[in-house]
Amino acid sequence: MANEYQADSLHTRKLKTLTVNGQRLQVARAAMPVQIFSEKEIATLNAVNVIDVAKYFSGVIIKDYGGIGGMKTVSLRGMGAQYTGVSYDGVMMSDIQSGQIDLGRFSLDNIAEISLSNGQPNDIFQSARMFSSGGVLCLKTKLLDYDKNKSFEGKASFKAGSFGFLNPSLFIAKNFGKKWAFNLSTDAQIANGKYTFLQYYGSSTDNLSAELKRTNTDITSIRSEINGLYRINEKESIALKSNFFGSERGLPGSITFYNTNDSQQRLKDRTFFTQIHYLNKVSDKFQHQYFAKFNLSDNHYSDVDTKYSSTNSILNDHYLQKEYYVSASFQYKLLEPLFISASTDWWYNDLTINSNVNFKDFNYPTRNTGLANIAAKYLTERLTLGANLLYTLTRENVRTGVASPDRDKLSPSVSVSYKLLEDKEFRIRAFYKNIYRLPTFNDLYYQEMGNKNLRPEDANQYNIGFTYLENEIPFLSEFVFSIDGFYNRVTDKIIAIPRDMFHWSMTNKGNVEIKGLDVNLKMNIKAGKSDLIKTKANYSLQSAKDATVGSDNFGEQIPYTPVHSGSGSISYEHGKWEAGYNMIFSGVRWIGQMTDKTNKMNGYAIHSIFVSTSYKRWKVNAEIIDLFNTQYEVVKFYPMPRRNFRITLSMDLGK
Amino acid sequence: MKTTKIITTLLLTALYAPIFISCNSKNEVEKVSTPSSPRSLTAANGKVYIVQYDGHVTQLDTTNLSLGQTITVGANPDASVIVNNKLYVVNTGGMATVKDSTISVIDLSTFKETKKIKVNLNPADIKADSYGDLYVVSNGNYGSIPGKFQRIEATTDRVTDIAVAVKNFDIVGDNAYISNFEYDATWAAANKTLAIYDVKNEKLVNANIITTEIIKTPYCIDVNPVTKDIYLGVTDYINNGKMYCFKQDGTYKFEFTTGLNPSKTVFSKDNNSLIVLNEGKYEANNAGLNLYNLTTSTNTENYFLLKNNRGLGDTGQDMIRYGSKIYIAVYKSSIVEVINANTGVTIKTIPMVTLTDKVTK
Repeated sequence: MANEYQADSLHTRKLKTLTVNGQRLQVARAAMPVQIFSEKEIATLNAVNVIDVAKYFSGVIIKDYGGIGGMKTVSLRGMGAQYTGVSYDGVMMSDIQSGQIDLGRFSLDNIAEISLSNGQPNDIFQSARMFSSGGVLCLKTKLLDYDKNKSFEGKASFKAGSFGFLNPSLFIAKNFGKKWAFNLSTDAQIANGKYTFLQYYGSSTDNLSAELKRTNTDITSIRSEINGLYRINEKESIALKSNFFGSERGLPGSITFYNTNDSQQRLKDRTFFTQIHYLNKVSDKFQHQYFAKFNLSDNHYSDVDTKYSSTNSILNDHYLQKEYYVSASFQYKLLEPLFISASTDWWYNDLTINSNVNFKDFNYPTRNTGLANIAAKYLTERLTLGANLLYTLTRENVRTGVASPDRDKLSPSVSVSYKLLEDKEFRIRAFYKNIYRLPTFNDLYYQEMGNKNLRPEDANQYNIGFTYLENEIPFLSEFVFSIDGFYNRVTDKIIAIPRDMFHWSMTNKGNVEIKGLDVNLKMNIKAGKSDLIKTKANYSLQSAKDATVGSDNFGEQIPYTPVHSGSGSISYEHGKWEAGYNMIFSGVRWIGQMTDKTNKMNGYAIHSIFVSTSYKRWKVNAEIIDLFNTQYEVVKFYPMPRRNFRITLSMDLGK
Repeated sequence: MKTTKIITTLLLTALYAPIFISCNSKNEVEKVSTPSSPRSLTAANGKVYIVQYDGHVTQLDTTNLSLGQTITVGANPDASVIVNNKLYVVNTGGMATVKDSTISVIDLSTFKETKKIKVNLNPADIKADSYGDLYVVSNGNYGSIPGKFQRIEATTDRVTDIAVAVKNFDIVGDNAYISNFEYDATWAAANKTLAIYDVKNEKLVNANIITTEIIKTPYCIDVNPVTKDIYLGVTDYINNGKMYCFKQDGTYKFEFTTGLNPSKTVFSKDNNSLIVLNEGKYEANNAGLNLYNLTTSTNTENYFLLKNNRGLGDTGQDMIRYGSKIYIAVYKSSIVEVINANTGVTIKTIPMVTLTDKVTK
């Protein structure tokens, strides 16, 4: 991010207004669409975790299994959640087992910015892995900034909400002289999660219904992170991060009609990772950086069910994943507007499973993945051109059985952004990207279902759009508008086909064609003496059709993809007070053949409001989520909570 | 700074305290009701016998629709059949590492398990002929141990292999109607046959009586005991299935669309109509019924939903008609639904549960 500004700072002089929000400019100039929420904006979104924020991005399909502890994933423009990379301070998170990152595990309390990039983030000085997804959700934590006057910063907060939700959290940051800086962020979340919901025994609201209560849905979790930064000199620095996440939760499972017995499924997970980052901005022309990371994830799934007759009705599955990762990137300025970069990454994954019932023939796979990427960027006031070529290779090994074949792929992308008019920030942009998705260990090695010969999926993304940033209208303190039309095609899609009722097999058979439109607007209007009306809205049109040859659903919308979706927010800021309203809506979704009406899931609109104020060190925020008590489901048979409340009290600990 | 230190300490304590509280629960044993998951139904002497996947068989009185005695059989029982006042239950050992291979025999006068008969690995289905012989289809381990079709002789309980490949079958009169197929490289069904096996003379009469093309994968077969018409249900496990009707000699009669995974056909007393049970998909809450009127050739889809304004539940496993009522075992919903055989309107929904010890940690 800092790099973009270095190159662009020459050009901001040409704009007539003095202050242009750097983030808005970045969004308007991006050749590959990017959406950004800053810490201040996140505070107005009725959000308690990353998925709550992601719901306000355009072009996303959220899968939320309900409650605080339910699994939450994000999919971009109809491609599937495994194409969404999640980057945490420059390093990608990974899950080699399912390929999906559960976004519920991140705390918002130490987040400074959340951004979503289609294709990849526009900065070419990044690890090769950042180029290897269909899109990237970037989480940036609060920087250890030594420019400020204060040497100590801290915030303590306490959230309480419906269904027994308690969330104490602490953030402290301290600088020691000019060289050392540390921060510590820790929080815990506890909830019993027992919300009531309205269950219809059929797919129509005319059918019989009952008000039931979600059970076995408690969660206790703790997150801790410590960061240290050492500035060797003004060009070089080393940052070290260690993060721990632990939780225990009940899994209520999907709703089964007429079966009100409590689910006995429990999930305990612990993830620890540590990463180190060395950065050297040698000169105006040359810089390099290195990353190293170690990640350990331990999941324990248990269930009590009389179907496990040989083990006294008890099931215990333990999954342990390890990853070792290293990366090196270099950027060189060839000419004033032309930058080139090269980066290379290597990482190792393994998976160990211990179960008292299943996985007796588990292969214990390990995978080595190597990436090499070259990129170029041509950047002037009016024209941005970008291109990269990513080379991927994988080598797999197994302790027993046969390993998946080695893979290698070449994946290019090109992008362009052109400022059409001399004196207005009105740009046209386009990009093309080809990317793959490697099969996960579940796809390849899961008992009875895995298929070792699965090939990677292939995706081609095309995008064309316009952005407009207006900064000359006096009463508008901000105005950014963008509209993008896109076409994605996914081939060799890994899908499960049934052999019989309980036995499915993974195969590369699917084809999906997605055409759509993403519209985004952010507009801040000055009111009164110093008040501000902040508005944002987005709308997505996604026509994602099954193009699998011979499929019974050929030409129909793929499951869980609404054709229309969007969100809107408005808030009013007056001195220390702010009050606002947020709305997200999703149109109708289908979960199977469209000729069968029972496969239809109704659309929904969820409205939420908040009011906040601060007094000296203290800040209070009160929220009502789902104001009109709407009962809805994001994933079928996983009812979401209805109207609920939350209050946050926080204290600034700084001097 | 001092305030900060106090707040920090308090907060850190508040943060970590819940961890200790939650870890500190006692180990106590309390009784909790767990779903017993009904799998199959048979009826005799005014009682319906409900076989449940957690290893129990329970009596249901058909006059007052109250549950009676429960006994324990083998591991994960599935199909069942009554012949000569004995109830035979297949024990599949479903989730066990070593699958069961026995048939439990229950004397209906005493309602006690008298013995277990050992058969091939992983028995799935069982039917009886009018001579007291039992026929069992087993699936093996889908690998080194193949499935088999076996006969258990009436009085001797001797088990013999029959060299006929069987996926689903039904016995009416002296004929066993056998549906079979093989999987091709893409897990599609190929070589679909409908064979006739003579149970009296104990030999294969015709390897395949069907000439019409059958789409998708055969899933169930039921033969009308009066008209001898053969009903073959097919599925692709994802979308609505189909029911084919053939005459006794294999001539195609008609077909109609069913719900997802048609698994059983039950005939009305006057043979003017039939009801198909659609299993639905596990955890999709889409079990259902079709009503097919043979006189008017009309197919009523979602019949149960239409008549009762609610879904049938999750995974409809078995259905029988006994007297003027139809009984349906809905496996994942863990209920037995009792409906009026003529109107399709529900009479009673019986939850099937077992009280077990729950260990809390």
